[in-house]
Amino acid sequence: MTVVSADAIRLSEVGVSFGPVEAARDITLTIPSGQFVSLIGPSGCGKSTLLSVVAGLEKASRGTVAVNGQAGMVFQEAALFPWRNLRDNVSFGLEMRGGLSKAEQKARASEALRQVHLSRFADSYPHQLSGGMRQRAALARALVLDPSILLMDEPFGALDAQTRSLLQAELLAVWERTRKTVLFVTHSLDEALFLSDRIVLLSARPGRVVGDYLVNAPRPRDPRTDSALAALRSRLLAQLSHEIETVARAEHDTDWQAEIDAPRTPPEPQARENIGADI
Amino acid sequence: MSQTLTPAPSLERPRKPISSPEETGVRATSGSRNRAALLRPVRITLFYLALFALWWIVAARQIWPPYLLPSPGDVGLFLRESLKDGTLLPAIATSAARVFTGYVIALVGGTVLGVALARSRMLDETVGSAVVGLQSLPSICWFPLALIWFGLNEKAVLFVIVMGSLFAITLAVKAGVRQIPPLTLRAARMLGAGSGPKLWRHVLLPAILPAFLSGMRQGWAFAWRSLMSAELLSQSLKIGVGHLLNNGRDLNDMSMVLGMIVIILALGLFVDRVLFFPIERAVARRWGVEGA
Repeated sequence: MTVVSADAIRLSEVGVSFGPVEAARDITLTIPSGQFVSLIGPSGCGKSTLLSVVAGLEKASRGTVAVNGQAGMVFQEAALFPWRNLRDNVSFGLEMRGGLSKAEQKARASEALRQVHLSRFADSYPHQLSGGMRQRAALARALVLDPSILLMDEPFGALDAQTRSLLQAELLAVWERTRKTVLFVTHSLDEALFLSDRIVLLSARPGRVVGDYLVNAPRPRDPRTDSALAALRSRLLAQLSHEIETVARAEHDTDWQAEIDAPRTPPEPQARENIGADI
Repeated sequence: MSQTLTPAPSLERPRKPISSPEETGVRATSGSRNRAALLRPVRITLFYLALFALWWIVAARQIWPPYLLPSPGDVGLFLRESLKDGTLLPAIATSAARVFTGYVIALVGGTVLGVALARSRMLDETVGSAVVGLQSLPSICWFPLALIWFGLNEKAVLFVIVMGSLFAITLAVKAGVRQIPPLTLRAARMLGAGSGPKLWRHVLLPAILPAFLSGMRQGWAFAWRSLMSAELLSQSLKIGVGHLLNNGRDLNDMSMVLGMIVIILALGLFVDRVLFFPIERAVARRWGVEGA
């Protein structure tokens, strides 16, 4: 029982369909507390849908979903409330939960903003800030409720490269301080490699788990200097591009295949055997 | 890829440093923009002064006889007289009461209907299509119908005002609710706003406020126009400003006609510019939906 309760998220044989469209199929995934897990896969592979299911925003059509603890979520866009300044945006969740005095709410919101280095902008409104600042505020808004699980849906996908790497570093710093369970959806392999303890690869739609890798490289990471990381990267890349090609083929005319110069060797079909692959 | 754990904050800057007052208004660009903004009222005032002068000159040279084009002085004289003999102010009060009643009914009805249309696809496909169609019907077309239903009385006038402004408000509110980003609702749900009164009070209502205000403004314009049409066609009722305008025509008194046009225009503009516009602009600025 102790082992079970240490799991933050347990999905077993989860499938999600929207009418005739099958978004995800037969997903079985167990995430222990405190692990930083990235979900990666081609666009439309159901990774965001899966995150919504864990968040409780969507219902699984099949299978069981067990989430141990409260989850906070950060979306691709900050989705801040434009009529509230940053502090009031961050304290929104506390207001909704109730039970705290106004002064206490304000103090906690200020503290959460300090954690993402936005104290100076507590009185600013979202439209006055850059995309990166807004995204940090969205992170503070999720953190202020002190959830044990942080669900992140391509949170840095809309940012420029520089802002992106800054926010990745900042997120890691927060994670190392708080050791929350993080489920992080991204389409960037490098982002997943830089951040996570574990990378779960989903196939083209309907999304299935086709790869599950532990990343044990020390942080901060750099695939250019860490050869083991580089090896994992090329392995993942081969598998990922196979899935991406599947999507591309479905989105092109049937004669598109002719343009591919040479038939490629598909990666090993059952990469799940690699669970726990140590690098 | 930068991998420092303590990122240099200098790479990120607020897009508009409004929050730091020491940085505002010091740049050359904002200075020249300020000057352009200051000149604007000057140009507008000059335009209207020139228009007024033109009227005055044309009237003074008697190109048309005074009963067709009275001078600004004659119109001013009429306005002063009508204020003194106590016809103008009660008429304004009567019209204001009528338009207020009709407008409030339209506002409540339009808001409820607009929210309902935005939330229910079936309602929108049925009732919504009728609303779009009826919106293009000039409100005075409801008057004959109102006369037969209610008779020539206040109810008929009220009906015309409500029908005139209801649909504009409905469509604005519907658009406002539809424009709420789905992500905003998901974020609100994740933060515990639920789907009941909390969500309405803290998320949905503030989110539609900018669209709602512009709907209120449009609804007002339609309500005021509808009332004027109705008053022009209903002589036996209590005297409103529209009746005075029609009296001017009956008496062949061009000063009265022009004077009443000025009054009706001024009242409509007053409510729009002095009441609605500043609120709408302040909200748009705060919400960041306007490049202010």
